[in-house]
Amino acid sequence: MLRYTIRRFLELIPKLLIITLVIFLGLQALPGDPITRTVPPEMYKNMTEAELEMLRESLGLNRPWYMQYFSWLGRILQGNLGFSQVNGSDVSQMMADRLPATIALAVFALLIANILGLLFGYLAAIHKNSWIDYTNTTFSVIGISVPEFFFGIMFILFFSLNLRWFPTGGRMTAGDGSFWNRLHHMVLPGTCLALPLVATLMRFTRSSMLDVLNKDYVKTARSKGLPRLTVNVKHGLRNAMIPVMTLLVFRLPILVSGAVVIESVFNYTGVGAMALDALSASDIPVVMLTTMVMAAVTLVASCLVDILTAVLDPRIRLD
Amino acid sequence: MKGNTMKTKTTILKSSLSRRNYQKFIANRLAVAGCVIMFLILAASLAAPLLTPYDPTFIDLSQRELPISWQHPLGTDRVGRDIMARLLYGGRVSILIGLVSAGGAALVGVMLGCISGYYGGWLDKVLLFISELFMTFPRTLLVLLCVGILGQSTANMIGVFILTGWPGTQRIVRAKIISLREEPFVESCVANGVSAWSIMFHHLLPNTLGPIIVSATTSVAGYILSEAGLSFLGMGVPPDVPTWGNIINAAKRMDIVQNLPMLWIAPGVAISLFVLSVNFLGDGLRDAFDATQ
Repeated sequence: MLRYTIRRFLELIPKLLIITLVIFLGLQALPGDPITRTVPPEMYKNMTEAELEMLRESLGLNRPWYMQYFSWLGRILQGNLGFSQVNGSDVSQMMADRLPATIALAVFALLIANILGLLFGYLAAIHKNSWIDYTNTTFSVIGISVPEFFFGIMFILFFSLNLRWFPTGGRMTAGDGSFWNRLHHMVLPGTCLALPLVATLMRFTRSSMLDVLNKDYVKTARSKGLPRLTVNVKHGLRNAMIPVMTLLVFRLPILVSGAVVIESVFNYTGVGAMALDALSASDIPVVMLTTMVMAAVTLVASCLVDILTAVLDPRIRLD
Repeated sequence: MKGNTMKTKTTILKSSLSRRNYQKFIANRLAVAGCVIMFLILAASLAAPLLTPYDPTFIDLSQRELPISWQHPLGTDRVGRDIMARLLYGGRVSILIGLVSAGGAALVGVMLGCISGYYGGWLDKVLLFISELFMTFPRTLLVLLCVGILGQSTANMIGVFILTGWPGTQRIVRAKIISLREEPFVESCVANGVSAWSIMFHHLLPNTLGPIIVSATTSVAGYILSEAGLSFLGMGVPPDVPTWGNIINAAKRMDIVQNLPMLWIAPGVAISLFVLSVNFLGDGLRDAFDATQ
């Protein structure tokens, strides 16, 4: 297991290098002096040309591009993403504020999606062709066909404006940043984000579960006289979950894409909103850095799901 | 006359498999219904000038926020544009983006999948690595980046969709070709001096057509949803071009959500209905092509 985990993480490195390299080259290709993106703007303003030259030398901005790439990468790994040229703010600080919010939203959505998707998919499979199966099928088709933001607007209208159960948006009430307050703000956007995933997972769990229930080892377990629930969950669901987890890896980027839209619907100030704001201010470097960080986070998350799948299925570790 | 009947008979015999697939498809009521609804929406969009007298971009400030009436079946928006006209004309662009992106991505995916599967080796490894990379990239962020660098346009968006969309098809084609590569019919082609190009595209490719069509169909739905999301953000198709996503864009303001529901319900339902019918169609095709059923 440890060997498998290490191998998966090692496989991440070339991908992360390529992503960062592409973004680095993109940043280099942009007009403007790279040093303005590297040092705080107030510091830049007060410096003489000679001092700037010295700083360039010490930051390695005079060296060939591949050397620059590595020193840039080193600065990023130390948590220094540079500065926005448009409003002079520290990109790392913005990230530190917004990335956890987006990750929290995505994790919340993933939890809902996994719990509901697996549960209802499981129920639909063991009660095949019952009303619960048909309700599921109907819901799963609707769930993958209706855009998330349309759900979002409807939710705001019903649950926020009419029923007043949840706030219309934001990450927390001003002056109140408690856990429950944040969670309360996360319910509607998190549910909207989860719905398409719930639908997909439900559908997939159902078919995967039906597949597994026909396997010989399930029949054997049943004929041994094991309780039905034990067979269904321990022999059935556990094995049925493996293809579902694989699907989850492919769905993660779609979840992140959805988060960008949902954050905008609910004024949830996460990374997606940050990319959008930067884009409307034509702050391309910040958009590039945001994209890079999000891609890297998605990549690492996919890797974690892969490892989790290997925990479920020992066969994967062997090849 | 006689020759004609002969000809019909042979075509039936030759296409008995596709005939069976066709019958399987026709028997699937949801798939047929999806197909019909899809073509109805498509036809309504194409026939927009016949169905509505209004220009979707014509601003008439004296006709603002009109309720539903015979003149304006869905009312008008904040600047007096007829919502029905915008919906019909908007469908053209939205559906076009879905179809062209899915077609383009499938084409690129087929080419690269064939090359990857047939030649194998380092070329395959490189292509697989790139496709894995693209599959982990959140598409919306990539489009945002392209909008930032290249500017906002329909063509750019289709370009990004194709650029990020091919890995799915590439994987399907690659897997299928690898499993077929060692078959005797390929060997006999090689022995007869058939070129690699011809083996790939004339002899191997037709065997992968079923899954390609299914995945291309479902990806039409995905691209339409992506376009709607991006246009909703105001970063997709330029705002002056009506698309379903661009119409819904107005509902980012709370007062419109409450007071002008038609402005977001109508395009929302149009997107959902179209995507729903495309998904039904895709499911029907999948069942029809699935030989095990």
